[in-house]
Amino acid sequence: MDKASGGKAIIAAGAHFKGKIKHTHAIEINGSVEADLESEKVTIGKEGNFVGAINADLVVISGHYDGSMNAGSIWATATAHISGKIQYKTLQMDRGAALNCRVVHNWKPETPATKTPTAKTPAAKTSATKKSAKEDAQDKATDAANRPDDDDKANDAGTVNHTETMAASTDEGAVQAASTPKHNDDTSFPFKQDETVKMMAPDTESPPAAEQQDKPARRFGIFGFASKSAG
Amino acid sequence: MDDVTHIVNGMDIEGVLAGGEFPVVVDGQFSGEIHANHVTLSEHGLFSGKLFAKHVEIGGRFDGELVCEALNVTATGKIDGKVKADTLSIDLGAEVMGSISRAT
Repeated sequence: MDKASGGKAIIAAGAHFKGKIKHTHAIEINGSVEADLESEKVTIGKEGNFVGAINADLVVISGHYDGSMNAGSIWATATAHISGKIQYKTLQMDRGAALNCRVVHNWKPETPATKTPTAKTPAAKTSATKKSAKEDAQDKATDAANRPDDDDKANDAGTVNHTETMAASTDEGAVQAASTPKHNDDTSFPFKQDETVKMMAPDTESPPAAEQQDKPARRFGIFGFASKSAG
Repeated sequence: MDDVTHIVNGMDIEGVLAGGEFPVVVDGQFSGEIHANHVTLSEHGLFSGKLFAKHVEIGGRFDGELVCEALNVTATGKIDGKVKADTLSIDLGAEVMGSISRAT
């Protein structure tokens, strides 16, 4: 329906809601909510208290949260208290944020970081053994002069195998690294800092714009570094 | 703005809402129960369930049970159900069906 109708849904301070919330564009929770929530953006204000599942693109938490959260980006501000489980693609924690929960990166099954190399390695190994078996047969037919070549080929197979796993792991790193800037390019992605600041409790002092703009770059830097060291 | 519980247009909400002292505006779809001081169901709002409040303004569609002190049904309002109100005003054009009685 009319999702652009100016607005962010609000559960005011002092209000208490229990139930289900769906089809929301943006919601701000300053009261107490016990619900399952689907939304693009969720803000839990300083006084806010949320219990239940959240499925969202961006969650900014300044209050208390308990439950299972799936979010593209999670920003836990200095006053955040989180328990339960959070699954995220990008996570930002301000100094003072309290996380007492299970934290899982990359909750979407499309990027199975661990499966790719394990699936490839056995296939590579079997092809390598097949090759060497063939070459053994050839060796029986041909003279002994070919044997060093055979050894070389076996080594080659070994290195191919190795590089394949290397490639797989770098792929995985690239996926991780690529996911971060992809978010930033997305126009709907709320780390457009102005919006994020708006979504925060308005009484908190918004940090200077320059510092804000630094943050995605820095995060990317961290990810880039992490993926390099992993590869 | 922040002191209002606002169910925006397009939103689908189900459950029990205790609004506290701040007003509640329903512009989306609500099914369940609302307990609040002041409730406005605006033109695009759709409510089904029970509503308990002091002041209520209905501009959208209401199905269910309504108990309040003062009720105002605006021209776009549609009510189907049971209404208990001490003071009542219905604007020209409003559609009200069901039973109306005094709350006290």
